[in-house]
Amino acid sequence: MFEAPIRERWITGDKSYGQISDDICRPIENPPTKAWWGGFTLSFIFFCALVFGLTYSVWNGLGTWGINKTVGWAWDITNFVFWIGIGHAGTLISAILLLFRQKWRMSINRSAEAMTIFAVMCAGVFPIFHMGRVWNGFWCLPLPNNFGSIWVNFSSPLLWDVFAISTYFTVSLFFWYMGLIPDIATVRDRAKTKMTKFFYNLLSMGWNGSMRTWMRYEIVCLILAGISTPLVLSVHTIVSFDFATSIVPGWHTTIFPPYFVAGAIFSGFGMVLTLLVIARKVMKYEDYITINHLDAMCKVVMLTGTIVGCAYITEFFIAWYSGVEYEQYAFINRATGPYWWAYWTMMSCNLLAPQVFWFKKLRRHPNFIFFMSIIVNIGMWFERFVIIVTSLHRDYLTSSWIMYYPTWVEVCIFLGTFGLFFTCYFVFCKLMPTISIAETKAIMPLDQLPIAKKRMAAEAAHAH
Amino acid sequence: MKPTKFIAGVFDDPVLITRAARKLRESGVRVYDAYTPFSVHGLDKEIGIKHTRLGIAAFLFGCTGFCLALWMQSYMSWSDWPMDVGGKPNTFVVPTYVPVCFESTVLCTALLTIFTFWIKSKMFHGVVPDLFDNRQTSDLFILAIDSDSHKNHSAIEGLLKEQGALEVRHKEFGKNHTLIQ
Repeated sequence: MFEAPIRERWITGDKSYGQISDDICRPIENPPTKAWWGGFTLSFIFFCALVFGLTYSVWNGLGTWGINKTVGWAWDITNFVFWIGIGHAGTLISAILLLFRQKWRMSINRSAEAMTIFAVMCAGVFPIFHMGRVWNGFWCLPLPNNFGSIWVNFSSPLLWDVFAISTYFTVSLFFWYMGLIPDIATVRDRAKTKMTKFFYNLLSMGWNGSMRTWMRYEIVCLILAGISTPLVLSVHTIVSFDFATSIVPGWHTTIFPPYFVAGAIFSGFGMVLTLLVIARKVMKYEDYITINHLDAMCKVVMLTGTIVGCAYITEFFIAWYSGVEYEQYAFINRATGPYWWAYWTMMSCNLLAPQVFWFKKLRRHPNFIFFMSIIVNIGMWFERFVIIVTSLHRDYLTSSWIMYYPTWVEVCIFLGTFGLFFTCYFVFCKLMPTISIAETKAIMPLDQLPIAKKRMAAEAAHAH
Repeated sequence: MKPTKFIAGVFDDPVLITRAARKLRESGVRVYDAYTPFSVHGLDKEIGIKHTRLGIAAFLFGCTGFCLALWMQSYMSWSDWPMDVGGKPNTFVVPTYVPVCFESTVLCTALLTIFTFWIKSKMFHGVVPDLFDNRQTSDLFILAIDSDSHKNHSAIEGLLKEQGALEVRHKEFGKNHTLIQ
């Protein structure tokens, strides 16, 4: 196997195989720390807020939300697109970077994939509860007429969304679980108590590391990566169709699919950085998630941020160039109308702020990266808000122009989804290896391992 | 009849186990299987594992998913209950079938390929694996040779030791062991 000598190592600290297992299993095998309990409790409180907010809005109806006749989609769909977008980085790291054989994905893919699954769960909350009568939610499934509705309309992008997101969730979940199986087996074989042994044995499906199984396993992962790549692109493309196939000025643009996909990856990497900058510190994974990993992720943030910025400018240019006055007004209104602050927050957070990552020093400064990742999250939330609310609030009929303000119920639900997300994440950190143990071992350079010294000494002795 | 007795060479180095497997193959010993904490590339060829046909299966599963979705959509909106939405008849509008066909293709490929993989590898929830060593999923690499079909046990042991095995073990499993071939 060829190993480039110049390339810096992705895993530092001269680890042996056993040590990698020890390090990564440490949080699972030891009782949770105070920081974990603190974080978990706080997240759980927010999660309760979600349950309360949803119960309140179902009990009293959607009148408790700030949406109105003109602005029918607002906070809820903003949050839906925001969370779906966050999920995309996980699939990008696990699938697209696998196809490109990027070794730096190995120590971040697991937590990014977990993030995808939890983010899609959070996203799902919004369209489902935006239906109002959630108990009729099954009407969006293709069920025969005697179930209460006629067949679903396959020409509707909203229906495509149902298919895209449920497929995306299912495939991501299975892909994630496939990756976990060998690592669950590692935890199983190290387990000390009967309880843990039983639990991990159940999930490990009898994995024994057989070479035959490994070979099939790698092919299956490659196939999954191959189909997840177009899948992840299709999901946000279809989400953008929700807007692009309508005739609302500001939405009716062909640039939407690539623009949304780039934005999704941008926001997703923002969230990955937010999580990992903290996780590597708290869980003492600095040897696995190194500054080089953060550096690589910052480059992706900068690239996708610039793509998104290009899309903003293109939209503006095309609005002018098209000569359609409604389109032109929609964009002028975005930048200078009553929601100008949202527009300029979006512009500065997404287009201008990531440009700081041209400087290598800033890409390698964890605290600064954490700050920037929050900026990216805020910027991308505002992007969706700008697209949805500012396009709707002044429609074709001047008499129905109106402002949109969220109510406390909507804010409560939105903050609650963060609770759901982090509760799941904390439970995941405690129960499952947050770094892929097997894949990390596979990228260790063979002649720099501690065992290699013994091998080389034996070879030298043999040669004499 | 599955073999139940094995000679196991225990290694701690993926390079050495690959070399040992090659040496064994050259001296005419058939390796039953290797058990490793991660996928050691090149080892599969040395122990003569045939390439899997899961890729072909996945393609066929994908085709199935695509056809299912195409049939479902044309049945529902064309033959069973044609609709006219906004003056646009909903009869066999193929371009709008594309997204659902695509998603169905992906879903069927993913799920059916994974299920096939689990069934082929005899992986089910609750199976208790038969291990040569508890550390074979962490930092030991095991080369297992079926001891009933080979007579020259001491030669095999010698070869494994010479190639750097930490130790050589004789291990017997019950009749219903989970080591597949």
